[in-house]
Amino acid sequence: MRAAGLLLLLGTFAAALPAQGELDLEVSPAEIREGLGWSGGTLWVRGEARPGDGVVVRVLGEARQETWLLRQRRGPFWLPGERVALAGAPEVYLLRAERPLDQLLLPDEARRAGLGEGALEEALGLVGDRSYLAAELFRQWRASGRLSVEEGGISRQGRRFEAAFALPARLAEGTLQVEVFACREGRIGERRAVGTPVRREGLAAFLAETARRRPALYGLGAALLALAVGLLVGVAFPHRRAH
Amino acid sequence: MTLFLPVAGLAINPLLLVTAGLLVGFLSGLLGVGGGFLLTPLLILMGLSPAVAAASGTNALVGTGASGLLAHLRQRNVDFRLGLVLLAGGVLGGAAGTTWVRALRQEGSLDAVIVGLYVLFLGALGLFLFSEGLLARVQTTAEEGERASTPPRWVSRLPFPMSFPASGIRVSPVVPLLLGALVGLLAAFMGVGGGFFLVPALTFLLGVPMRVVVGTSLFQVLFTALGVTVLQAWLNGTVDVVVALGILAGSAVGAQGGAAVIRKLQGKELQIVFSLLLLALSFRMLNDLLALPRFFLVPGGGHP
Repeated sequence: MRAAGLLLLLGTFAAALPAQGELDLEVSPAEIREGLGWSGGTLWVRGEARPGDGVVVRVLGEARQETWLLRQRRGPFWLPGERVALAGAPEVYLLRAERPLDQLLLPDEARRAGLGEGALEEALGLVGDRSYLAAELFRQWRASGRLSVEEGGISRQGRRFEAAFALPARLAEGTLQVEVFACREGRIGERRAVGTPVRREGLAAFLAETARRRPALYGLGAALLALAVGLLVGVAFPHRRAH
Repeated sequence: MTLFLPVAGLAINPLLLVTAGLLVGFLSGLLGVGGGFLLTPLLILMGLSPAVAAASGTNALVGTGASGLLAHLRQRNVDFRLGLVLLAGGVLGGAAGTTWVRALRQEGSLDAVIVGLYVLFLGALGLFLFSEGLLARVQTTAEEGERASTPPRWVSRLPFPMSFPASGIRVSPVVPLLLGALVGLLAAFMGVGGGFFLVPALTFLLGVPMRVVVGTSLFQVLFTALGVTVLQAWLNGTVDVVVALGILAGSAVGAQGGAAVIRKLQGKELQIVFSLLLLALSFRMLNDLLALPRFFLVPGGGHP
């Protein structure tokens, strides 16, 4: 009797804890490769979660220091003016939620986890009298595919869930952090994350790498290559009259 | 079908690049101009940042300049001595221009400066060609043979006169140095070769005969563009060689088409069509500065 009571107690205690190991995550492709034919792509995130949990998936690029300039009217012209420095701007911020975020998470919890545009605004320090900058920046990021938040953008069948993320063509090398959050009762019950490397490959990788690491050599190579092509054209079409 | 431009970090249809090259090459063959002033705005319209468009345009200019120079070398139409003086100015101007570009880029105003320069430059050139018929005059002078202008008096009075036997002139190196420096600046800022002003300047300011003026100008433009390409890649990281090669592929074919068409058209007609094209581009770019922008934030401080 005492043993049965102990088991019951343990069972109740276990049920009260966030279930561990029920959240599963699979990312496809496991590595993003940008060759000369790269024009953006789709990242699929699939997995399993406890049936009652709401699922949120976030794809986060590496944070970087950025400076933006606010165009201002000077006379008849719209010219770059005020500088907006951003610390920790993500390379991409893509989020899919099974339902609207405010139905899945308490506002504080979403903010703490950095989920949603409001949390991103705060992380970038664009709040209060700078919130107009966030609105403008996000509009631009959405247009370029750098920012995308879709509430209701996860398909769910029982335990299985699936989300698709359109990756922009302009995606720097590094690691995309793919995270899945299982939400229950307004809190994050469980979280899984996996890193997806972004690499340039082939000629694109060689050129980007050389341009970055050996810029003078790259410049010389680019100039000599153009020179060689020009000379070949000159030999092939000897009567060209171009200036 | 897309092509990823590794330095520009942009994916575009390669046919667009080749078509731009075709158009620029066609005009080059048709009018005997380099076409850099057309190329950079076209690349900007394709979505490249003005900084990458200008630097990659300069890279393409190395190729178009080389093929043109080869033809003039065969005909011995190059004054190497004058070319080297021009080139010395070009190297100085190019280095100063590239450093200036770097400073403006870090400050974040480079793109607006390039667009502004193009508005002024294309507008002025378009208006000038439309009203004065400069190209027709230059072509006529060429057809008439060796008749060279007499340099203005103030040019003859400048110090340290040098002889340039291939051109048959004796002038101070100050003017060609300054002209070369201006070409270097233009190459750094706008990705243009500067032949459109160097040819008339050498003819009317220095009295260089038409027989050698184009070849000599090409010599200077080619090596200045070569130096500016290296400097732009080194200091600013804005040269995308894939863009340059795409342009060269198109321009090689386009130039042949242009050269074939010119035999069937009259110079005046071409001049008017061309000047209207320049004016249209100038208005399009002016609109970018005047109209309410689509986005109010622009990347600053060195994004390619």
